[in-house]
Parts: sequence; structure tokens; C-alpha cells
Amino acid sequence: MTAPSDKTTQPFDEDLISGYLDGTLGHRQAQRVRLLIEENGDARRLYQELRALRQATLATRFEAPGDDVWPELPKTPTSRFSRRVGWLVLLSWLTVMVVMALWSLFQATGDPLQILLVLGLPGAFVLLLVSVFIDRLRDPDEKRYRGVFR
Amino acid sequence: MTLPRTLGGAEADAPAQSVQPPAKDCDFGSHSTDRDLVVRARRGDHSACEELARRHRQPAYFFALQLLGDPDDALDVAQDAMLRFFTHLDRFDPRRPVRPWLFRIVRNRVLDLFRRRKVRKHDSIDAAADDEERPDLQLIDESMDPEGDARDAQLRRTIFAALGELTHNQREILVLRDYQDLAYSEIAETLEIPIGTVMSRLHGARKRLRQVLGEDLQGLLC
Repeated sequence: MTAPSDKTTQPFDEDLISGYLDGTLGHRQAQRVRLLIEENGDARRLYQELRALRQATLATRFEAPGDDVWPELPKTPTSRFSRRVGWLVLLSWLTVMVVMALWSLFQATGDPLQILLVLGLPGAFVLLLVSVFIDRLRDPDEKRYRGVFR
Repeated sequence: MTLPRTLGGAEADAPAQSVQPPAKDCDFGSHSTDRDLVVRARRGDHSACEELARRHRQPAYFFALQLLGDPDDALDVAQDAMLRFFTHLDRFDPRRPVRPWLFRIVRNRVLDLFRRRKVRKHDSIDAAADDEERPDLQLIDESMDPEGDARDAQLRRTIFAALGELTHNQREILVLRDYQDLAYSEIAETLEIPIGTVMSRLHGARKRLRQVLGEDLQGLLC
């Protein structure tokens, strides 16, 4: 078999070489690119490089995770719905209770110092819990399955 | 609709670390097509959900891995994508192929991850390669002739490492075509771009990859 000769060095549309490699060109266009590859050294070199790259990537194999790392689905739509409604009801109830308690306390004693003494400690706890709750809400999407491998 | 009890399916305890080539929407030793399975899954068929999960979880993982370069992140993204896949299965048109739809979910989760971490292109694949604490990507060499195929294996590793130098857009289209072997129409559907754009964008990515590989490519091809 003789080596192909370069009969032309005219510039060409490189996109078409990619399309030819992927088999997406029409019959007539593919024929033209085939001739181009035979006659143009640059086109031929480009085609050979792209083909080698594609063959190499297609042949690349990655180690797959074992079946045991796909954990049980944590939430079904029903349970997610129930959980959200549950949280909503709980938070609403809590808000109403806190407002009512504060109002009652304010009505019973007009002394701000007394109110501060009564509310200081539970207020601090509530703020800490709110902080943890906010972090907890942000974490699940990102870290739901952290620890599966470790 | 119901969800599969596990994404891992019935063989959740199987120890196998299988190596999966990219697979198309078709039978995998089963008599049901993806379309049948989706229809059944939407009716609440538990076993259809299990089979769908078994078929598509690893391609989802591989796609995420090829975009992110980190196995832990890829698994997180793939698991989340599978969860969303089943949660929103009622919105899916069973007449369409599953893979582009699932890959679009994976892609969106990857983009979300990038946004959350404010990752730029160099913080993904190549950063993963530089981080000694991250697990090895473990590209598999299936060579029966280690000496003769060493160059091919090296080429595959070099190419995968070079993906880290590409922009995200270039990397994802290259991965979809040359690693996942999707057709242009499927790539267009996954990336939500016109099919006419696929060829030009794909060639731009390949051209950039050749530039990045430079003399390495010439040396490996000789």
C-alpha cells in the first residue's frame, strides 16, 4: 500500500472533520471530506489525531463504585411532604406560643429587668437551636451521603 | 408513584466493583426497554424502579466523575441526581430516551455544586489530581498485553488529565460525545442547545484538547 500523497494544501473546515469522524455528515459531504483527507496532509493528520483521541477516550474505563454504596433512598415524596408540613405546623405552633407567652409576661410584669432575667437563658438556647437548625437545613443537599465511603 | 427502596436494587450487598463501558438506552439482559420501565415505574411498579436505578446509576456516576474528577463528589452528585430522577419521573416523556434526561439532571447538580463552592475550572479535575488526600481516580487498564498497551493506557490517562484544562462547556460536550458516546441529538437534548451547535462546539473542544496535549499527543501517537 502506498502512502497517501498531498495533492492539495488548501484550507478546510475543521468542523467537518469532526463531523466525518462522528459519522454525522450527509453522504455527499462525507464523500468530499473523505477525498479531502486523502489529498490534504493537514486534514489527514487532524483526522488521525482526532480518531486516536476518540478511540482512547472510548476505551477509557473507570472503576465503578460497588452496589453497596448506593444507599436506601432517604425520603419518598410522601415522607418529604409529611416532614415539611410537620415542620410548618410545629414552627407555627411554636411562634404562636412564644408570642402569647411574651405577651402574658409583659402584661403580668412591666419590669424589663425581670423579663430579661426570665427570657435570657431560654432566649439564648433558642438562638443556638435556630443556628443549628439553619446549618442543618443547608447541609443535607451537600452532605447527605458523606460518610458512605468512610 | 413509588420509589425504589434502594438505588442499589436487589443486589445491594454485592461486592463487585464492576467496570462499566458507556451504555445506551437498551436492554441490559432484561426484556424490558427503558420506555416500558418508565411507564411501569410511573404506575408505581417497584421492580421497574429498581431496574431503572440499576441500569442508569453507574452511567450517571461516570458522567459526574468525568465532569468533576473526584469520586466522592461524583457519587454525591449521582445519588442526588438519581433521587431527583425518580422524584420527577412523572414529568418525563417515556417516548424519549432516558439517558439525556438523566444526564441533564446530573449536569445541573454539577453546576449547582460548582456554584456552591464557587469552583472555577481549575478547581475540579486537575485540583482533584493534585490533592493527595483524595482517592485515586483508578482508571482501569484491561490490557492482556501490558507492554504493548502501556502507551494506550498512558494516552488515556494523559487525555483525562488534560480535560482539566478545558472550560466546563468544552469538557461536558467532549465527555458526552467521546466518553459517553451519545449521539449529537442526545447531546443537544442534554445540553439544551441546537443540534447545529453541537458539531462546532464539539470540534472547538477537541481542538482545545489537542492544543493542551500538544507534543504529548504527538509523542503518544508515534
